[in-house]
Amino acid sequence: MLAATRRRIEGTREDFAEALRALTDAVASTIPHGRVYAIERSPRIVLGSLVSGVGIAEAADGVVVVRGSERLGRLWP
Amino acid sequence: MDPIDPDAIACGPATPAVRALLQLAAATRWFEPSAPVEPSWLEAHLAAVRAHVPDAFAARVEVTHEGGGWDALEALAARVRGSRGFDWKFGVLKPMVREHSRARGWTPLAHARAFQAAEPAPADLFVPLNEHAFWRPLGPRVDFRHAGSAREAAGWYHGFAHVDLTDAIEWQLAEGAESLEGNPFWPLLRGYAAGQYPFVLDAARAVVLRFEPRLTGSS
Repeated sequence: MLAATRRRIEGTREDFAEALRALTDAVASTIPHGRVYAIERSPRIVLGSLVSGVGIAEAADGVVVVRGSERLGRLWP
Repeated sequence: MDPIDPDAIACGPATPAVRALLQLAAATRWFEPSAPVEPSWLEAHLAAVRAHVPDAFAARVEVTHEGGGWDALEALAARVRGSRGFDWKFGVLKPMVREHSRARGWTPLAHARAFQAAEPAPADLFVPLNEHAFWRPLGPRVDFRHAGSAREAAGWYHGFAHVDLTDAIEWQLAEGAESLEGNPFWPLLRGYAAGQYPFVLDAARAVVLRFEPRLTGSS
């Protein structure tokens, strides 16, 4: 799903709203009635997969991919 | 994430039903010895699905009940995940829920706007953001480390059961109904709560695993 999201943001300016649009679009077009969950909402919103626990969040240096408190990398290619 | 408080749920006429679904989920203990439940709960689920998707299953689905532990869970999960073609969750249930919500004009964002305050509250089902509203997890993440080699299969099964709970609540919200009668996911969740785990192998065959950890082999 991250790969599909990254394909959709290629060439765009790094922005959380853009990431959100790309992620929801990737999920909707890949999974029948797929859902993006707000895995966390405090202290920051993390949006992603409940099954894998992997999500995206807004950070000081851009949009990052996280699993729990672990930072897995940046979303933008 | 802070858990959703079933007692504080307020979502119009569906409130008591949604509360009952969340309470049942909260009381469900995963992969513990099975308990008695009405014997035809899976058939009730299949019949409720058929009412909306008449050709979802064969005219008669052969349901086999078997007792087993982690080994059996792992084997059945591998069997379902390895099969191609019929897909109970992605091919039948999810399209059914999507169509049901669409026909009733229900969306998470419309729900959040109608029933949630601007400030986050423990009973919120959704987190609104921009022009979207995202589901909150309806229960805690469960660690199945004690399942040994079946840990991954247990997490996989539990993840899809959580999707069933989400679908159950979405169905009820879209119906706007007080009663759970006719909600295709209600019998299914009652089966899970009793430690009985269905695997629909294809349109004509299903296996219900009555979970008995003592029947596990070497793990």
